[in-house]
Amino acid sequence: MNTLKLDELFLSVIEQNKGIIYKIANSFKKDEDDKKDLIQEIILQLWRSFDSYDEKSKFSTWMYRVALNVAIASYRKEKKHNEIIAPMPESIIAIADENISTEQEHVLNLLQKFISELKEFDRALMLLYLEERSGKEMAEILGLSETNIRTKINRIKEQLKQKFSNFNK
Amino acid sequence: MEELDIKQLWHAYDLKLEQSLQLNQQIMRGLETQKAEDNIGAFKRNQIAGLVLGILWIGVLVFFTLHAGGNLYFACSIGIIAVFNIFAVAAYVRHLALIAGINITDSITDTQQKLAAVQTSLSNVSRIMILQTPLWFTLWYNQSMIDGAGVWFWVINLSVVAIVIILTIYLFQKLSYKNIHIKWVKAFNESYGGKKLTKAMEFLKDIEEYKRES
Repeated sequence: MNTLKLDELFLSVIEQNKGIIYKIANSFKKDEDDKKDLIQEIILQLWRSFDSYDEKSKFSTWMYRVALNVAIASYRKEKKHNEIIAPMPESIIAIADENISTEQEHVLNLLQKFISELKEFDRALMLLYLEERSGKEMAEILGLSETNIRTKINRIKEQLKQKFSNFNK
Repeated sequence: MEELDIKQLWHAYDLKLEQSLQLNQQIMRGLETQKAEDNIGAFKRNQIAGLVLGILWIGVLVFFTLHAGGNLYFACSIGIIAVFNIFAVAAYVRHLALIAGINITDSITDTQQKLAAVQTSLSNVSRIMILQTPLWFTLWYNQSMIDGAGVWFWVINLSVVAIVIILTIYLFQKLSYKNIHIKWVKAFNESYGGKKLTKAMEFLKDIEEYKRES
């Protein structure tokens, strides 16, 4: 495939998956600038690895692996410092309308808050679960057995349930 | 809040994002051009510099081993120190191989485990270097000292060397990430490797436990 076609293909892949990238960044970074940097870093790493995708696994599995690996590694860095790329003034993925007013949005904010309080791997797992990935795919992305995944999901769901009920008291 | 409610909520979030997220194509194009750039050149240069320095230091130690001026005790001590340094350089080479082996498209636990292992692997170099400590206490022995020094001199001297040997072996065994839950091990690591090293060690242990539990 020539470079131009690859560029276009990559652009359309990111266009289709921008929501996932945004949600991952949103779960791992609180600060808006950090979020912007993480989105940029995820997309750059996806682009750098794009031509090495070999179709042995599903494209979504590959993409989640790269995005979550970058997010977890970036989350663990102490400094807010981008070693690979220069910061850009604008965000690659921007949200046009951020009006939050409804009750549903309020509960959603709570859910996001509770997810962001989970440990890194549990957070990744919960994101995949909410994205309705299959047990097999979640196991492939995380590198765990399906049984282990099921046990952990049940435990995390219980934790979230508990947090919601504590909050409503 | 029930499972179905959470999933419905997430679905609504998806719909909202679908409508409001915009991809900045201009920045995307700019990012695509960065692919060919080699931005980790400086990092690699530092690694090579570390390796060259290590090899040069071994060269110095080997030189003194071969030119010990007929002092067998000095030659043996410095020779064994050289062997420890060879192991340390080998551990450093393994560290570089670990870096080269990281693939960001591998599963999350495997990749993060490798990343944390890279961050902690340099502590193995330090652990090996600690083992050479007792030899710096025997470096100054010579034949006239062996022949002429009194019994008490040797009792005190060898007692000190024995204590240092026991202490270094103990430190070598304990200063591993597997013991990072022990307070003094954590404090010791933080004193020479910083909090970053301790955090990486804790993370490595967490990953192992996370993979195990089911």
